[in-house]
Amino acid sequence: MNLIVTVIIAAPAIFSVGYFSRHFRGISVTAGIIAVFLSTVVYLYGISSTGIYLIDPLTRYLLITISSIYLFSTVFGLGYHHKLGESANLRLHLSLMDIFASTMLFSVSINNYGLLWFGIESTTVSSALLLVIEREPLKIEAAWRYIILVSAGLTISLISVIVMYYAFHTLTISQILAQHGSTGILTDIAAGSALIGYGTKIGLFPMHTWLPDAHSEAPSEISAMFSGVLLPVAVYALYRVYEVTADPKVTDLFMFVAVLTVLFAAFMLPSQRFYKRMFAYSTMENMGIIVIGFIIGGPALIGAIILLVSHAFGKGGAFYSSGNVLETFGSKKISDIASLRTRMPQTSASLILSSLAVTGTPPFGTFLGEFIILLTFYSDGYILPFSLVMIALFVSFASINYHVSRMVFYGKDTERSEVSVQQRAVAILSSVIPLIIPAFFLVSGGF
Amino acid sequence: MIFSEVESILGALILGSALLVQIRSYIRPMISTVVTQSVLLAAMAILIGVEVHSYDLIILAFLIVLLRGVLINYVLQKRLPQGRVFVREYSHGVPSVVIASIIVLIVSFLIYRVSFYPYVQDNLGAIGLSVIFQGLLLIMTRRNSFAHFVGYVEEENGVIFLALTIIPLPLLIEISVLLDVLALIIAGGILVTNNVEHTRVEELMG
Repeated sequence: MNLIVTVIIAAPAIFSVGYFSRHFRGISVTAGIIAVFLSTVVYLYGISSTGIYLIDPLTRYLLITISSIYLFSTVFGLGYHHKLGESANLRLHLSLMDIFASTMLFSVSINNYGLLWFGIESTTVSSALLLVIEREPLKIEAAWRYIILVSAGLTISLISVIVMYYAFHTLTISQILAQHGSTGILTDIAAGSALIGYGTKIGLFPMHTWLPDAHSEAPSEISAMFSGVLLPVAVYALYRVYEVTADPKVTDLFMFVAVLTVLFAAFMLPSQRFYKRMFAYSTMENMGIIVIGFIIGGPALIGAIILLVSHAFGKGGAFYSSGNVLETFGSKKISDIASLRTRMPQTSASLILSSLAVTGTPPFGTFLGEFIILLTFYSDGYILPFSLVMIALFVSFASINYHVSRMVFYGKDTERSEVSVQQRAVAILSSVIPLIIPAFFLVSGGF
Repeated sequence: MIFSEVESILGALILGSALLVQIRSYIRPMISTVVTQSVLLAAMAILIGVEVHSYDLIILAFLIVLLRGVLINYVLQKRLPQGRVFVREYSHGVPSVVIASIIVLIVSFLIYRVSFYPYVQDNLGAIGLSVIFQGLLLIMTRRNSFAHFVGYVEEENGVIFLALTIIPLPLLIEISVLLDVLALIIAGGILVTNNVEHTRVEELMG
């Protein structure tokens, strides 16, 4: 069992040596295919582990999601950066993407709080340079903000590792969880510092400031990896620490921050002028709801997993489509984009589908996930937060779909200017998958 | 007894270096101060290692000196703009920073007192928590890339100090943390351009 997981984690890292080969493109795609194939094997055979790795149903879903978005992003990136040819920049970019994927896969698999922190911090190191494939000053500034703010925040979560070790004299996640023991204020401190640290990485308010900058300035395939899988990996880390606590005050604190995040993101959306930035705020909103689902637990936990997986593909589709639009129009401003319906029919279809997906429209998986979370939220008596989240969801739905509709349907330009087939295919495929997810969960019974 | 007293002195010096960094305007002395702080931290690790007979802590001390005292110092000095011997960050808010540092110091001591102290029964860890917050304050109040780096290293030093005084982490975790910081400084170093001052950017607002 451990061998398969080791190969899933190591394959992308090993294949990053493709930098030195003429066939670097094929090598990167092969690494993605291997990761997807083995993650599917782990999922289908229900492989579990509590040794070096902690593999449970949540991990299995994360492994398959990370691998898939990694593969999609690699394929998309090869088309998106075709102008770079055989350059060292592109080789480095692909190699760093491989290492980035490897660190994420490591983070969600490792059975140790200390190494989990190390994995999350490594995702920052490996991904920061992915923002600056073209050394434009704006991208460098965004990358700088990302690396400094996230690392400074994550250092706070290292306090949670120290406290856990002091309280339990082990850092093995499965052993600590098996003790079912909150140790009062010590686990509260651990949860609080994890909320600040991992919360910075997730983009929870008010530690979110890096998120819109990094997402809007990163190349689109990297934005997709950030939104789709990197932030959920940080949510996973936060959840693993939260699981140890049993204090209602901690639950209330987490709930307060998550609801505030959803509200803040929703009310930032109507005034957005740049479409990639708009999708970044949408990610913040979705992460807030996912965190709520994880905190409430029970059916909401299943809802959170459905939302997490559906959002990953939906937001991937949104960013891939945004990349196609950016390549054609050369502008990130919503007001500069018009006539997408006639100029880029397939990209406009994927953009609309993905926008509907990320705003929780039925019958997308995001709708099912949000529905289950909100139903549990309401049933558990959180009436005021429930009402606030409902208002926020309405605002974000209206804002995103209004902005996207304006880009797609406004204007009468009929000149066709679509991007490469592989870019369009990845965008459409990623946007359609959230439609299949509810059926998949209903047939397979969730886990 | 003697160990405890020397540890307190080292703790006071580390805290002093954290406060000194706050009021530095020139970048080179700022880097030198945080390097000194790292060396003091290594001395602290050796002392505790000898006290509790832990080889892990002595190895940790060696690694701190190697990675933070030598390598990070080398990377930072090398990235300083060439030809500008006295790189200075113009700051008009020194009195405010001093007041903010003192407030942060008091608040971190209070947080430590109500959270950690009831369990640990030792005041020394408060210095670690304070150094963490001083590092964060430095990152927040400065606009210079190198000051951000220094703030980050200081924050990490604070975490190691906190761990040393509460419960030293397994060596594997400590090494991972040290290597991560080094990798981050190298990755960040690549991002440092000739323009080391960070200002408001219209496209990154809202």
